[in-house]
Amino acid sequence: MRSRSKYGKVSALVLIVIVVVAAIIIGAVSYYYFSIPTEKITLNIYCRDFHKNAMGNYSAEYMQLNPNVNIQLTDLPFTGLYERLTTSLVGGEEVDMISGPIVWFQNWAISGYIGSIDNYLQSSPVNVTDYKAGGWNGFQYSGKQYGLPWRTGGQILLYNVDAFEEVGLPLRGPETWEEFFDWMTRLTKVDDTGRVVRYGFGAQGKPLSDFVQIGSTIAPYAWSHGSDFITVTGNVSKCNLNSSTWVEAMKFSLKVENYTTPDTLVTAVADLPAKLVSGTMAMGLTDLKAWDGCKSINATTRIGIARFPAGPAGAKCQPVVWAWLFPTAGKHTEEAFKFAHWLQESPERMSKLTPDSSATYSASNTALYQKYQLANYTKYGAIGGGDIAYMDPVNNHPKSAEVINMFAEACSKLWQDPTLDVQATLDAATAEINAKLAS
Amino acid sequence: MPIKKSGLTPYFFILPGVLILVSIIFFPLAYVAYLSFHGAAFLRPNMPFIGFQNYQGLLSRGAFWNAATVTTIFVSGTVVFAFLLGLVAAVALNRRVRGIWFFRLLIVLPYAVPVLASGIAWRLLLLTPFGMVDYMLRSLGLLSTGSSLLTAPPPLALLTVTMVNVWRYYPFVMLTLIAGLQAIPKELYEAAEMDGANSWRQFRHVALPLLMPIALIVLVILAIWNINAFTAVFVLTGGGPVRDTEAFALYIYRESFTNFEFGVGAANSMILLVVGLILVVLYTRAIKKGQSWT
Repeated sequence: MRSRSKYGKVSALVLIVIVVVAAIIIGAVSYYYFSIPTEKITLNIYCRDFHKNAMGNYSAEYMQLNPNVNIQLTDLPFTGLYERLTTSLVGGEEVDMISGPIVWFQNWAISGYIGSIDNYLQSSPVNVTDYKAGGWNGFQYSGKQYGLPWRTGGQILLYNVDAFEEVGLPLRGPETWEEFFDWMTRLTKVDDTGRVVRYGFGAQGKPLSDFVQIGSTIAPYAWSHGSDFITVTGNVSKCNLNSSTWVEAMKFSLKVENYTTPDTLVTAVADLPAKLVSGTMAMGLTDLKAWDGCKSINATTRIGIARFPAGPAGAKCQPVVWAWLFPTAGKHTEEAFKFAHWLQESPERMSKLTPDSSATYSASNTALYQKYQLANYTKYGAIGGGDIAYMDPVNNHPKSAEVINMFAEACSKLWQDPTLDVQATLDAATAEINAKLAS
Repeated sequence: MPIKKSGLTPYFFILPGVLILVSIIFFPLAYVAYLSFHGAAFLRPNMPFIGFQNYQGLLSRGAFWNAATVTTIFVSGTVVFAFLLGLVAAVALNRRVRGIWFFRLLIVLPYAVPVLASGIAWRLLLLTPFGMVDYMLRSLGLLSTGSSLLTAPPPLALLTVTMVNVWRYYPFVMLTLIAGLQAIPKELYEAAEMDGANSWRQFRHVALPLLMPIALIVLVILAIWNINAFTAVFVLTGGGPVRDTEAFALYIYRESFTNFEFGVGAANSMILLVVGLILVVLYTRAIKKGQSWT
């Protein structure tokens, strides 16, 4: 009797333990699988590397205002950006928002990898007049809006005030191309042996390879004389690179190059401030970051800032505008658009997101930025390459990236070997570009 | 005792190796060939069959002929100068003196350094404003202010890249030719000396003919290796200035992975493959010739 009772107690104990453990397991499993979801959504965003700090700060602020949203940022450098973004889009990566420039988005739009934002604009309208027309329209394709512009490639002219005063120039930027050329030649200084000790002008960029920097004298010159790089008539696109206006623009650029060398005319971004401060270069076409660079080298050197070229010559603008784009593979496009819209609504947020006013800038530079930055907001005015009232149709062409590269190659060939016949070289390049456009 | 027929058993033993070869060599080759006849592009969902259109398009592109010209000059320059320099070094170091191993080691170093590292080092030496070589040349008045060997007008940039490649490959030539020189019997030199031949004539009439088989192999190997040259050119100049140093492999890379035109890139690759195969045939013939000579 006693042993039976002992076994009964043990059995009961074991049974209770089993039941409790089973209950715990069942409870945990039930909680994991059947608990009510919190409805927190995660936005996957690819931003640029230069504003990752600002984007990080604003993402945190947005998440605080919207507790159901989690933002995951990935910052990308410009090197290989087209390849990175294209492979990501084609690979179907679930990214909700990316930052892309005006020359790449058409192919993505045609292939259906990025979606139109017209529906979102209806529910969250933006004030289009706040944007420069060329910048806003530049991200339209086939009558649909694909991008929310947030930055333009604003270039400004920095000049060494001492050099200007030495040759008796007024302390402002040149206002016509002829004035620019005249000032550049007057500012160029050679020593007794004929060695150039001060170059009149230089632009930032990689030597002989970068369209934007190479196009700083060629494309704006041609645009301001009324010619587009590409003319689109119906379905037919035609390159005008060998027209008289572009030939004249190229010859002007080669004349400019006579007063510089390839490595001076196009100078690495990091080197340009040093050349300006040391007086090796009198005028430099660059962005506002270089202003900080000059001040950090020597705050007492007088550096002026101006539009290039100002006045009527600068009426047509920079070729590069960046926008927020929305991949079709993204899971939360509507929320991503709301976030982009929230970023755009505040001029202060917009000013911090563009590279010329990073978090390290002082208050005086922010004011300078707000005065001079070629922003996509009309309320800021513009100084720099122009007013983005207009965009060359090349920027809105599906083959824009390739034809722009081919254009840059033609310019580079002539810059590298000025003995080449300009008309013949541009004729050959135009034929190749037209073949590419027709293919 | 009669030998038992092995039947299919040996084939089963080699089957895994064959499958690996097929999957990592033949299948990719076949797929590239397949792509070359299709309009394959990353951003296009369809891949229509277009026959020889990719090949026809290549021949009309300036960039294709530019790449072919650059590669021809690059490979010829590398083969010729690396061979000559390697031969001179091999003759100079083919001695039994104390410490010769140290000099051989020094000379072999360029070949031992990874291509990427040596490319970056040379880029830093040659580019303004910090390049030491550039600075020296400017001080001697051989380079104008602001210009650099790597951004110079043609053909200087290509010549510079070729010379860097020669620097990298001549140690291999030297090592191979030293082995060849040391295989030549001393008696032949002694016999020539007894006949009144000086050092130069001994080299010209004894060493050089006997080095021919190995020299031929070295020349063809150098050509095969450098026809696909990518890393050195990519690191040094990226194919620039403009396309002055854009070798064929770099051109294929640009078409395929920058422009995402896989069909065009595949067609270019097939052309390079044919050239490579021709060189391989020459290589096998050179080996056979070498064997028959010995």
